[in-house]
Amino acid sequence: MRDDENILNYYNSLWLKVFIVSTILLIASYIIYAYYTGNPNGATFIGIIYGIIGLIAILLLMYYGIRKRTYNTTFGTLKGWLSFHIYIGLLTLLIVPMHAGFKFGMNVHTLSFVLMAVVVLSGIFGAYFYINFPVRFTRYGNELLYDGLDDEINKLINQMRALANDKNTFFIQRCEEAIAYGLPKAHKGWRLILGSARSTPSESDYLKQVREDLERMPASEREDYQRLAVLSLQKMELQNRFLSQMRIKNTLEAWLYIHVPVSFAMLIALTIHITSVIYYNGFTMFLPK
Amino acid sequence: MSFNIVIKRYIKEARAEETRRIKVEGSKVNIGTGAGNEIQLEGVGVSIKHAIVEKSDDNTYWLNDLDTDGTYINNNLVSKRCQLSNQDEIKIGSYSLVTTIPNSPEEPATLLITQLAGKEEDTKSLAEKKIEEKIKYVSGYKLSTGLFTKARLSVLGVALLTGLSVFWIAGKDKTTLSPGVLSKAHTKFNNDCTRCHTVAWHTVLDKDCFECHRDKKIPHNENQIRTPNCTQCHFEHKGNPLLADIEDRFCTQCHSDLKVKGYIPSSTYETEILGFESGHPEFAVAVRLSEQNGKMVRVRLADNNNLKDNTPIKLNHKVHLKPNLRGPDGPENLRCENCHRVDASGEYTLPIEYERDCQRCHTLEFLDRFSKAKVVVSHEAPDIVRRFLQNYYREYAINNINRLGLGGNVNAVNQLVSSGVRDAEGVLFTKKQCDKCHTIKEIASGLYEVEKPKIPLRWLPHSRFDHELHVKNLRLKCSSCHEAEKSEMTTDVLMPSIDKCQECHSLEDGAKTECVLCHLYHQRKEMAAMEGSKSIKEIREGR
Repeated sequence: MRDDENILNYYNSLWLKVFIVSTILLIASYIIYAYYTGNPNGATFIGIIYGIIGLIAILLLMYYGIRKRTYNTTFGTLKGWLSFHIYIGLLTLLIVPMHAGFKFGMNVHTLSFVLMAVVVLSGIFGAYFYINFPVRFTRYGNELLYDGLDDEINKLINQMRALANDKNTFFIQRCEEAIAYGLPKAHKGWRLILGSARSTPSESDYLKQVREDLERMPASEREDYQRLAVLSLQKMELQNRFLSQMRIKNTLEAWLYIHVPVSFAMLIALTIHITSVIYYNGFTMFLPK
Repeated sequence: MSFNIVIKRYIKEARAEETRRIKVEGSKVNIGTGAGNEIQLEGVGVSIKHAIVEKSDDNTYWLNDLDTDGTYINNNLVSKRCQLSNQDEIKIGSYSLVTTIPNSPEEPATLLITQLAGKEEDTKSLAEKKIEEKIKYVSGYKLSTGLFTKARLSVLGVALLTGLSVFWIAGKDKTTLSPGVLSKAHTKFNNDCTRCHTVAWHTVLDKDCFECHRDKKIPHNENQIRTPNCTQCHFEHKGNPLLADIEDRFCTQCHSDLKVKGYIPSSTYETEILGFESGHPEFAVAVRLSEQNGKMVRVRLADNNNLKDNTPIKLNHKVHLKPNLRGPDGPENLRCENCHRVDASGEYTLPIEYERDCQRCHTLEFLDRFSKAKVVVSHEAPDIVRRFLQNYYREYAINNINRLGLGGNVNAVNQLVSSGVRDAEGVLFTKKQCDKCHTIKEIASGLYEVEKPKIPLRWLPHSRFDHELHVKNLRLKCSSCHEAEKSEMTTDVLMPSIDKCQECHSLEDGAKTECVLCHLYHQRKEMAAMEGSKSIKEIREGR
């Protein structure tokens, strides 16, 4: 495997080559088909063949979701499947309009195509992010390790609470305030993408407040309050670093929340399309005319 | 030699710790998840055969690590064989094994096994758990832990589309399921699908089409080996404003390699027609076999030997188209449309009618030998003409009975009448009146018969042509196609050859070349149209 191999040029760009060759063949076949048919549409024999190819492609594209979750298989590598998923997904944007003879209307048939186009376009975003943006995680030094973050914050909070134990009410109040900084009361994953999720004070503001607080503290508790401030700053720093990374992660993941649900909706529309067409035309429509 | 094993396990269901003591005989204790082990431990990090604790002959205790999952002695990762000391802690998976090695070699060593995980987690107080719940920080920002997970959104999408489809399917207006606009004529059905789609899981049946299109039931040709269904040629919902506007391939699917039922000599029909410009034969006009034999045959325009219009009528087109022709009111220039008038549809010309098209110049008249007056006769059959003449002369005799001195003599009157009729008929039938155009036979002495001309109504009965479009809209001269100005003989066939049509109707020049432009699949009137109307006698004789 080459070092620079990725999902786009996997296995000597096998699927890119398949994509290019298929595109040329499809366009050439369509030109001949359109020339001889005069009125290409989804009900002609060739139109139906395009439709069947499109259906098989869609089912294989949807199979990626299953293959992704199947670990104990040697049925192609996952990277290979993703490479196939991307290129064949792009190809459906050509096959399906060819099936319809580039005729669209306000109906369930066009709806399936529109939904499929939304899925493919969101997939193009996804592939773009997948290829270009994992680099951005490394800017923050380490890779994103948020699995242990809850424990870290938990530990800091426990330490902060331990410091506040047996202290005066003002200390406890400040301690609870510091604990509460940036702890989400509700789910903020989507708001993070929009950039409105930060709720910790800036470091300088916090230090200014600490200096003011220290003057109000009894001398015996000042040392512990300083310790509390250090822990609080550590907590905030941890949170802010996490949020910066999480914002990127969520932004890069957001496309999937269109890609996956719309693909299932598309499957229903596609089922209605195929069922209604056979209901009104019978199976004889599959025979050459 | 033996080992004392004490196993302390936390039983989650019972929320209590269980202690089991077992004694293992022999110098070895196998540890692992497998059934063959003396100490069977479960959970992540323990292999089937994980390790062996054994006592050697010199009374020392050893740990044989068989595994790669990780074994630790006093928190140090070990591999292969290590000697064990008293109170060493061996960690395997989530278990801690503490060795107690006796001073005396006779006493058995003890392994105290404690399960580390499980208890701690489960015995946390509710209050502690509550605090932890409060600070599930990461999940507060993960997209996958929000309300709108991919799975939920997918379910929502599927539910939405399923709901919509139920609405579409159960609803009356099924335009959403319609794959495209209807043809112009069918829009009147107002998207009532069941008007045509009467049987589910089946294409539209021919009988559904015949409900309205009753006249399309007749077969295209009785010798055709296959009759396609309506929907095999006419595609609805495909944006065709006219369903009859079908492509050539539906014709050429049979005509490119035509097979017929039974034996018909292939010389009588073209077997390989691929289109107007490829393989289309020269036009075949319907002409009478001979003047005597009224049977119509089709003769190709290229067949000069047989191409002869045997219609029993005499006409010189060239003479009629001469300038300054002698007309009833002086010289005039005749044009084609003066005689060949267009019918109501504008497509064809009306049959020639004597009264309308000929009489103005060619009056049927004779000179009354008695009164010396010119008498005009109607364009009727000879017996009617004779009756007219008889009446004419009888009336003349009665009116002039005294002058002519015929009083009371019936024979004299009859004699006058018959001689007048004979003379008049002689003039009319043999002196360039009726016989100017018609073929006259004298079947008995003084008894004439006019052969019916039966001018063909249509020369090309298998096709259609729009004269109005060509002459009026395109301003084509009649003579561009019909070379009447040169024709002197009635036998000349003035129909244009295929080359003439192809001058414009070619793929290069743009005028359409589709089969259906000229041909009709349904309603072929064929010979009936060529021969015009039939008499009762002809029908009875099966002609």
